[in-house]
Amino acid sequence: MKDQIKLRALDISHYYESKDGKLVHALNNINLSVKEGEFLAIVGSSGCGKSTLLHIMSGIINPTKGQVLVSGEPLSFTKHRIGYISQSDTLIPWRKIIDNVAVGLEVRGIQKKERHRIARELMETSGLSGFEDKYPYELSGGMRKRAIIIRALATNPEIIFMDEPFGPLDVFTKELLQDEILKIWEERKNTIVYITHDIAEAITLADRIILMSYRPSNIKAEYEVNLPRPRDIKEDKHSKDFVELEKCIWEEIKNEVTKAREEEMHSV
Amino acid sequence: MKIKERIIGRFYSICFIGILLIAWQFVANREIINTFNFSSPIEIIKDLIELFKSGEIWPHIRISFGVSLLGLLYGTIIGIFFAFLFYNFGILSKILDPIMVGFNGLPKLAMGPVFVVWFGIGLKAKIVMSTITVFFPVFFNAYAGFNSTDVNLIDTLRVMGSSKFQIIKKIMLPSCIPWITASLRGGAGAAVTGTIVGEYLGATRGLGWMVQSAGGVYNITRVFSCLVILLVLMAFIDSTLKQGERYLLRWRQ
Ligand SMILES: Nc1ncnc2c1ncn2[C@@H]1O[C@H](COP(=O)(O)OP(=O)(O)OP(=O)(O)O)[C@@H](O)[C@H]1O
Ligand SMILES: [Mg+2]
Repeated sequence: MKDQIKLRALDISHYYESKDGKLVHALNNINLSVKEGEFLAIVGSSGCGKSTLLHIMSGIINPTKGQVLVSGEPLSFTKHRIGYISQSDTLIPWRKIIDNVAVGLEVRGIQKKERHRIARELMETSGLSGFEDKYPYELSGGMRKRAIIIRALATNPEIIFMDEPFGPLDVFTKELLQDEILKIWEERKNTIVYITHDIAEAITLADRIILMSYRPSNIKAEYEVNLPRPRDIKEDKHSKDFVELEKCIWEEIKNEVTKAREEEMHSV
Repeated sequence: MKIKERIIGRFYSICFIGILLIAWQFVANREIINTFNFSSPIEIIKDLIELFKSGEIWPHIRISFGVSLLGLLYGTIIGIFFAFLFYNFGILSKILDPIMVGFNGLPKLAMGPVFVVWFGIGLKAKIVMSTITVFFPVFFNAYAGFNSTDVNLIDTLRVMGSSKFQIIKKIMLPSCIPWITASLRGGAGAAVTGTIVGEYLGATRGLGWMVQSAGGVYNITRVFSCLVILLVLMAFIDSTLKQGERYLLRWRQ
């Protein structure tokens, strides 16, 4: 792994204006660097601003203050290849699965034959062959997630942002998909920024974990995950390092969650 | 199961219409009603046969049908276009929204005479009439459609490096389709009504003109014949649109 910095967030602060004109201070002065080929996980309690940070780092929204650099330059959707997997289901409902998977290539002007070939190949490796001509509503939740992931991979992005991609799935499907993600990443070594509120998931997948505080949110703690690669989703969970790290993060996050609860109680 | 229910439903409605027609014929034969004022099914069928046999009806159907279709087409395109403008230029919608709502509340058919003055009694006035009646429902629906576009889909494409134009073409217009098709079937009825009323007001051809001139000489049978033709015409347009809708929305559950 090269130790070059791939993605850098500089002094990011962000405010939302709610409908009644009140300002919500979501992010406060966040500085963050992600190395080339690194798998970074961001954890934090619900509502602390994880999605906001990801939206900003992936260029979808502009921060109130601060800047995002990719390989030292301001992020640009046309210059850089960005993969983004949102927290919600974003398959395009009126496109067949194959045309959903290929849409990133289509946007970049790749000929139909070529982009279908690439899409088909990806669908095959992720167990979706046979569903090329189906519409999204005909797929199960897990299959849809798979399709969304390979859609993001199809353009071979430099950085992939994932926002709780497996949040609503059952444990079995989740572990299966985590395993797939690991395999793909170990092979391709894209830079990944991965949001989750599942500490075990973060440890299983990531090289480094960042813990966000409650609003206004900043980086509360940072952990290196020193489990060897390639990882074994099932076995690693019982290793000493894993359990210790999990406990350590859990302790830290506990008082943030309590804070969040109190805050919510007050605002209701 | 569903098909069976549909067939049974069809069967009952045909029976019902049949009974009504027989009853109508019966009271006409017994002279319980005045056939001069109310005609009778057999008279109407005879008249229809004659109209089609002589072929004199075809030009009128063609004109009314054509004008309605043009109105539907123009009204739809202009409606979507304006909805798109309103969606993209917030100021425009803030200024013009109340005006649009106001105009929509106006009985558009009542403006017929104005169009006749502006565009004459030729086809133009009728096309304008039916265009305007179609425009409003399409406009409001398409506008609601644009506003309900899933932002996450737009973001997904933006991140992939899409141009504005690609986003419009691949996301915004398609996500409007359910809204537009929903307004189209109502719009088609509006188009035909607009055309017919336009023809009442002044024309030399068309089904509306036929109804008007037959009514003028108390030829009630002819009026009913024209209504039957209009009914069939409407049913034809509606079922075609329904087929089209089913095709366009095949990606929905
Ligand atoms: N578009 C918006 N307008 C106003 N406030 C917003 C908007 N988006 C998010 N917020 C607020 O900003 C805060 C952070 O939201 P965000 O979605 O980033 O949280 P999160 O950490 O991703 O939560 P979760 O884990 O539940 O997804 C929340 O208090 C939320 O209410
Ligand atoms: Mg979130």
